[in-house]
Amino acid sequence: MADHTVNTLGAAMKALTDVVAGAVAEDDPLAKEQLALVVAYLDFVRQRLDLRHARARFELRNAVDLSVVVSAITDPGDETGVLGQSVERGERSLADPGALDKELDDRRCAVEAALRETIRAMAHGDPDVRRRVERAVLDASEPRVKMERAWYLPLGFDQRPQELPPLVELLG
Amino acid sequence: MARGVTINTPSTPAVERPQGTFGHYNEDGSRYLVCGLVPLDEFYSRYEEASGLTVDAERLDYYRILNCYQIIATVVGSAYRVVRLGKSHQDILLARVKGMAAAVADEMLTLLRERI
Repeated sequence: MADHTVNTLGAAMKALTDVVAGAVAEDDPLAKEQLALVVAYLDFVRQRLDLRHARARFELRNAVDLSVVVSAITDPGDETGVLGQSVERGERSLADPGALDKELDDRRCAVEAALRETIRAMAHGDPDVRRRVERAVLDASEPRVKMERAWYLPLGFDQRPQELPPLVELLG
Repeated sequence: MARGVTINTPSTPAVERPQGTFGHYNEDGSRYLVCGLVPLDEFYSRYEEASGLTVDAERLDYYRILNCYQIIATVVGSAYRVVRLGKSHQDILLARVKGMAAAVADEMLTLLRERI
């Protein structure tokens, strides 16, 4: 049987705007504001629901790719450390088409935690190595930040939405 | 260029880089207005005129990066925590500001790229 979540979210929004809004007291600006925010967020969720899985995969891919680069800079050849192990598990989940969002998110958290420790550990290390890692982090941040900007476009904070490709394209 | 404002970089002039969230572009989209009021270069020059101080490019960029970092930490970390714990009467509003993080991260990325 088909999943009706998106349709039901639309019904929830309609109930709030067509029925509940009319019952909110005119002299209660906080309630009116929060109702509008709730409706807007439901609409946002409705627009992004179908892309949630693609996002989870994108973020794990991004973290794994950065970790591979950082690992090659900081400790080439060592694939058995914490970072190497988390990358290996991440790759395994990415290779599994049946991996659920929760698993992908957990793997990403593990990769990012290992990456964080690796980067922190080199705070007082070789400046040249540190600089290369910093550049790698910035390089990997670019596609991720761009994707996040596109993801949150419906919330209206971005000043230059015209420069962003479609979200689906960014998610790959 | 206003007196003392020497904040050009080899790439994008810093004075033309918009602060991601606290302002908007003018009607034809050609210039960013600080707080929706004046272009950034005019903002700095009028600050200098009013205060008698000189805008220090290096310090300005340092604080812009710090400010970006602080905003990201606030909207990603603090706002999440407040909402998660149900700590305010504006939780739904605080949850929404997460959408600001990426735009600010983009600005921070641009600023850091010029230095790293």
